[in-house]
Amino acid sequence: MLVVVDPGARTPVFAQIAAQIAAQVAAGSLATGTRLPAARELAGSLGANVHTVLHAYQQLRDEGVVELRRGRGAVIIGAPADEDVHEAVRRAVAAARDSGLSLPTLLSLIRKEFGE
Amino acid sequence: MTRGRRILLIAAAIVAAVTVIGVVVAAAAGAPLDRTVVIHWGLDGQPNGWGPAWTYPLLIGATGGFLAVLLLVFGLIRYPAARAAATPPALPLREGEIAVWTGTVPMPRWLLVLVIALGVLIAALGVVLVATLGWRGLPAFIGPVVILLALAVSGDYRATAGPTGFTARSVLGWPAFRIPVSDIARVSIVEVQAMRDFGGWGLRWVPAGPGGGSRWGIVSRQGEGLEVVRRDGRSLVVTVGDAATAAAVLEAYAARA
Repeated sequence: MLVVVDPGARTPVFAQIAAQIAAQVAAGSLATGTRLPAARELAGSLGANVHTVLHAYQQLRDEGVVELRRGRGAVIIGAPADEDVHEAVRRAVAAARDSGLSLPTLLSLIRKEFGE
Repeated sequence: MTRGRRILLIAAAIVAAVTVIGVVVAAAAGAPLDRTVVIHWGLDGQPNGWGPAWTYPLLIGATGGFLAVLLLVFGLIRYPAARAAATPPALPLREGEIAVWTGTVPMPRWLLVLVIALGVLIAALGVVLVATLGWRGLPAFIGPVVILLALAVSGDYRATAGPTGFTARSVLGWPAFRIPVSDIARVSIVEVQAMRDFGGWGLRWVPAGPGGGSRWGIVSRQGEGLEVVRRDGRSLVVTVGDAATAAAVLEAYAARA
């Protein structure tokens, strides 16, 4: 599991952590049943507050990506995204490149489509 | 000669010296050596086996001698030479970004079951022995408990790579290996062959690794692993998945240090 955070970014750190873990589950690089590191441990490594990491884990639980069990920590229960989704993403990125669209523009189009 | 080999040779010399002293003391105390002495006691503390007095010096000499030869052999034999290992490019990090990678070296389910079953068995035996014999029954446990501990620390490690360096820690909290960023000479992705590189699986130590120093291994399977080599040549190998990402994170921070 790789987490890269930028404390100076506009997105809150907890949301950055949650988004990256969710993305790795969707991509299939974090398998179902994988145990995430203890919140205190990950917070220590990132130089972040424990509550920030716990907040991220709680958000992942609310999204149905992890299960939080007392004593066992956070365990991945989410499954990788359907191949259809991966395929659609690949096509969208290829099309954006062809028409000279930047990544932020493509992301904002996806956000709009998603209704966020 | 590496520090690892030196440790083994010194240990062999110490064991050999203690063995010689043991044999001399036992022979002196047992003389004349052809008389019959007690060589076994029952659980009630009463003798129930007799044999010649030279049994003691012989047993001490054979056991200590075997151990000393074993240490000597491991201190002198050749170990596999370094094989080609890939070093991936550093993870591109923008100013202000912090990257942390975590992975696990799992413990096979059957081993976990075995450790728990052995633990329960030893605890139950302990209660029975202490209840029937009192506290003098306790030395009987030292062996089983050492074996149980060795099995318990042979798997289930969490590895972390980040701004502070690399750590691999047993879920029991001990043992833990910490390599600060400033101490990392290089990281690479290696193809681990458990038998050839470490003589087996689990928590392993080899006195002369390819880094020029001794080498620790936390080995749960064959195949892809991450090797972190320290500045003094000692190294640590862990069989984690996605070793390339772990190495990229360490490279990024090692390059800055």
